[in-house]
Amino acid sequence: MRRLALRVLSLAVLVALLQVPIGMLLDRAPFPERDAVDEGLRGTADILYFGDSVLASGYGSDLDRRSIAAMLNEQLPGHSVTLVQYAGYELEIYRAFVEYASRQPRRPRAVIVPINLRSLGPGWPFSFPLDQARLTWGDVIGLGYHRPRSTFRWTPLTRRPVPPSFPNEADRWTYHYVFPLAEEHPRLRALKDLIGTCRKSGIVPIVYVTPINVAKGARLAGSDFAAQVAREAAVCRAVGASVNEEVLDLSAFVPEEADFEAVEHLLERGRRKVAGELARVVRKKLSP
Amino acid sequence: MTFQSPQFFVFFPCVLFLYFASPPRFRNAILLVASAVFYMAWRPEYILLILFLVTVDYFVALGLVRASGTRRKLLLGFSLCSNLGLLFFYKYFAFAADVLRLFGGVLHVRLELPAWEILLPVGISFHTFQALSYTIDVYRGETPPERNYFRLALYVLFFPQLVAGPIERSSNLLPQFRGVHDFDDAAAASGLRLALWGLVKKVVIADRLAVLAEPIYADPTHYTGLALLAATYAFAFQIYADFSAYSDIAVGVARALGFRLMNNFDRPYFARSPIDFWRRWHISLSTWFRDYVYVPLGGRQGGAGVVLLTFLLSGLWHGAGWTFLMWGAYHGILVVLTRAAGRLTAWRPAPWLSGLLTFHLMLVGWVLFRASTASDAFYILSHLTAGIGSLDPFLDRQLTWFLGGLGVLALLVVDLAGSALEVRWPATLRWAGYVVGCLLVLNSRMALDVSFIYFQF
Repeated sequence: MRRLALRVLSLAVLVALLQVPIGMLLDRAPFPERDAVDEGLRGTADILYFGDSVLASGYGSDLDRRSIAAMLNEQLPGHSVTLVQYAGYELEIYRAFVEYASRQPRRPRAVIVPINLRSLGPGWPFSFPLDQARLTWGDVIGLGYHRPRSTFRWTPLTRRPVPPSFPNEADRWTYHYVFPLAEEHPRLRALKDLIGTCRKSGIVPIVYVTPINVAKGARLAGSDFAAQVAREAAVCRAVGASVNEEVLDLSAFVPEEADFEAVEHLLERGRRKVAGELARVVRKKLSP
Repeated sequence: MTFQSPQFFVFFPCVLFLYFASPPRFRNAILLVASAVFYMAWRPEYILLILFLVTVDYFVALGLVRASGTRRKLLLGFSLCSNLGLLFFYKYFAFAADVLRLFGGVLHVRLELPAWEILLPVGISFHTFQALSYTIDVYRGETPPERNYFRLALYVLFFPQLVAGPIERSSNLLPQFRGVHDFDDAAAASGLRLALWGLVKKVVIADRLAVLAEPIYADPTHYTGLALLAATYAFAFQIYADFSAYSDIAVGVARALGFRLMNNFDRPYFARSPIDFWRRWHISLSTWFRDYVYVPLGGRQGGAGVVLLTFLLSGLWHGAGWTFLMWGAYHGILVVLTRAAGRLTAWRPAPWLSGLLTFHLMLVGWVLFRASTASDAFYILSHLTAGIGSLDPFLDRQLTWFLGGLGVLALLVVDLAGSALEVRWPATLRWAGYVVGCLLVLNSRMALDVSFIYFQF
């Protein structure tokens, strides 16, 4: 039996060693978001600003096509803000980024973490297990063993559910924004972890709920829409409060329907408004 | 717990070690506990159903030895009713209610039948049939009753074949639990090799083919012609790779523990007639129906009716639905026609031609088996040859089709080579094979989470 056990063990070791170059070969891809963190922390950046497509910019008739992060940079002399943004990013990947940043020789002074309420609802098929693995274990282990982990379902498959079709826009808004939200939501647990990591590493977390086109939502999905969004934002605030951290509720901060592109993407005036508010909070939290 | 789950890769080495490291008198107990853990990892409470059946069959078998005449028949009837009653309740109740409602509708009678949502206990058809075969064999005097309750429980619960077979006979498996199994290095290595090949078939070949067949069969009316045909070919090889993979892993894992399970497949797609196919496909079930249904009903003397009834029951065993009944009836008709043709004409096609013809007859059967509804099945069958149709399903997944095709080729080559592969290969080649096999399994991430097809039965 010992002989067989030794042979099986040798096979396992051999396979484990060969798996690394194979995994790296199969899944190697640029990771510009991590590069942005590295570059920022090697340079002058002291604030990392995470975000999904809500942080994108340059719509329609915007004259100033800069992102909120760029506007914030302008309003915060003496600070340097690095934007870490990718469409679909959510709290679990932000947690991995914050843990990654906390392990760097030079850590950021603050991180800005937006919560897109839609990312807590049923219609958010995005998750980033490979990115998380690379941030947590580095490329050798993260890339090398990602496939085996997903083959055995240790990590979620990046399987996109078929988006439901809606007969009208009101139903679509209801689907994306009106849902029961509990403090135990895995992404809200990720938020707690993230705040915990910040505390341990001396990083100041600035967490806010991103603005939603509440006016349009109420017009399309009924008068209860605003109240429902407020209830969801309140759950996020409660999660923050449970770890003694304030979560800024900006869900209804941009009241004008015309300041939005689509659902929650902001036009120039909306972006400027949010940048102003965030600048105020950053100054307050980072003042000596 | 499934064979391809990470838990099993911890579970099995632990069981293997504990089994052989323990004194022989504790080994069956270790296997019994391990089997219970294996089954309870899914739904713990459903093990009570199996224990209920074991208890019934244990006492019935002991009673059969002492009883005579009508009392024996009553005891057997009690066992049959208990086993089949549970199977009926969990598997067929909803279907039977549907059928009754349908007939009620025809007769303009409104039937108020409960519509319970019952979760089918995994592997119920397999372990019920295995338990039944024990009682029937004892009744026939072909096997002595097992006086050790736990040994009988282990016969039904033995984890390698508990969930999806092979459906073992008491005459083969029970005596093995009475003997002492010393660790045999060569047998264990051969078992692990077979299990690895099973994993490759499941994870690398079957699950890849599933990705090709599933979307088309999920919504067949969106497709026509070549796409339907290709999906049907893909499914034919998917189900073979999937089910034979389970059997290979079951046989391999049992072999490593020192047990011999029966062979469930014998190169079925090289069969030269539908009758030949059923000698090669799911052999443990085919022989079960032969020994416990077909022969008792009259066998060859019973004529076409008995064949049809046996295949209808076999179809129903697979699933409670019209498509499975149609599948069973279709195979019954094929077997009857094959026999009739054999009597009427002395002409025999060339082996390659009869093989090709048989395979394509089976393909038609798989349409009935796989389609979600009877109307889907009819649509697919009537549009299989309706021109080329859209090439989008191929263009969207070119690499998967290519790799799926390679997998099918590998499957056929291994089947074709058969025992020629069982020679002792040079160590370098053997190790290269193991390493490649492991790496293929580890890197075959598929977008669909596909369970073993036969788990649903």
